[in-house]
Amino acid sequence: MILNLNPEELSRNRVSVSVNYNAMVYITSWDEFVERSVQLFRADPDSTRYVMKYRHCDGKLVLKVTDNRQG
Amino acid sequence: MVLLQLDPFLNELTSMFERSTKLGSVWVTLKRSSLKSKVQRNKLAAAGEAIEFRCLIRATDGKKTISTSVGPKDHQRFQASYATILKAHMTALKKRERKDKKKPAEADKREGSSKRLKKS
Repeated sequence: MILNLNPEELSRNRVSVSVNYNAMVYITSWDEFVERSVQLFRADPDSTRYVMKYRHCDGKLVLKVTDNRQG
Repeated sequence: MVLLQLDPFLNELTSMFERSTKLGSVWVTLKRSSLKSKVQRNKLAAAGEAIEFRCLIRATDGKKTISTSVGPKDHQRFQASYATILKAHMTALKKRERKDKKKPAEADKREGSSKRLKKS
């Protein structure tokens, strides 16, 4: 599950959740991301991890919470 | 991968952010960990002993990987320092364009006051 804080997407007031082939969910709403992250962690705390990727040159911050499961 | 103490980890993380400003990325991973194997955890659980969970934090810029482990006692101090570092170095992010609800209300007030002045 990913929250992609891309500046262009942030400036648009829209919420979209899309699922790709390996069940990665892209969320642009912060509140929904928090809620879903808490659900993931509570379901399986030992295999849940939070990853932050920051790329200064592109002005991009991607937050990912995963429980390592596919599908 | 080097398991560092809190302050050296934060210093190295700062350096990573500074090195990757023009090119590259920084990844930070946080995960709950007891720093014990499953066998050890099962033994503790069977004995009815409480397992102290810690937060394992890893950071990498693609070349070098550093890590630290934060216990419940140090967690608040770590979060404060970590947040300061992030705020200082994540300067490339644009602020969200929010539609201010206050501005139209203020404009109405101004119009109202100007109308009153005209009447008098």
